[in-house]
Amino acid sequence: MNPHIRTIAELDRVIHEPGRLMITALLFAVDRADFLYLQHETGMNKGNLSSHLSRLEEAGYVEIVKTYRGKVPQTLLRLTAPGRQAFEQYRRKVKAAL
Amino acid sequence: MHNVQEMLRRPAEYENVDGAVELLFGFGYLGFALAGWLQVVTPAGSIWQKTYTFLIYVGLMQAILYCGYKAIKNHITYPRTGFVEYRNSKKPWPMAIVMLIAAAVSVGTVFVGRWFGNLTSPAAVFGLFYAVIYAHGYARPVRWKWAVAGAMALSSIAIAFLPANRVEALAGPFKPGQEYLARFGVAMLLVFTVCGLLLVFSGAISLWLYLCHTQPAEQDGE
Repeated sequence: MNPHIRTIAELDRVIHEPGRLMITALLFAVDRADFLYLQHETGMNKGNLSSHLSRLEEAGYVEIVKTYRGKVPQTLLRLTAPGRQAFEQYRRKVKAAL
Repeated sequence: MHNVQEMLRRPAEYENVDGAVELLFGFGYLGFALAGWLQVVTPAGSIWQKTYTFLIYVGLMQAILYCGYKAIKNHITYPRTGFVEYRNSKKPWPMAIVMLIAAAVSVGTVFVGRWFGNLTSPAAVFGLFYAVIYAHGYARPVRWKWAVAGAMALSSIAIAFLPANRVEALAGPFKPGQEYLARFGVAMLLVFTVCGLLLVFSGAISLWLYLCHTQPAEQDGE
């Protein structure tokens, strides 16, 4: 197989999905952010965003913490070390493939 | 890939989405300018000319500015468009290099200015330098802020062309032989005042636009 085509085939499917790619890119640039910020930046509805976050959590890429800001519930999200590594690798592979 | 790069830049731009950073720096510059003008206009031996007064003033000013910044974030921004905590930069060198270059340029322009007997121009260089930083940091994502960056640059150039006798008159009485220093001090205060006013103006408009275009989020399950 052509090595460039092989690089494309080896892309991380968890990150490659556009919604999850947006989430990981946003979380990569920060230490942590809340659900509202991701919803505002990605333009996704709550259900959609929740399902993408669950998939990323299952893969061990995102850490989800439920807490309170005063009396208001807040969901804080952070990219884990394997998540950061996976995103960096994904960027490298896409650059190489393009 | 371009969209991914855009997404990676978004959180950094979000820090000033409400104009809070501009307001913080704007009021900070005005605070320093006020302290400077008080030292210029008050008589020798006045409380405003004491070092400890200046240190207390700066400490209080920083505390008030920090509380104001946090209040905007906690009560306006986070409930509307969400909370973000930034990573500590692991690469301090680029910033350190920029600061070293800025310091070298500043010292160099002061010496060159003194050589030519004109110290209002070096002060204006600070204004131009800040206009470039502002354009790079805040005007790139928001087009109308290029006008603010332009106003900063133009006012700095205007300060450089102020007649020396007018600038010296603003400095009040000074010891013979210190006219260059007096001119430089007053020009710096003018630069701080103008940049501070422009930043407050720009920050206030950003905050007003942010309030017009956002609403507090509904609180239900996430």
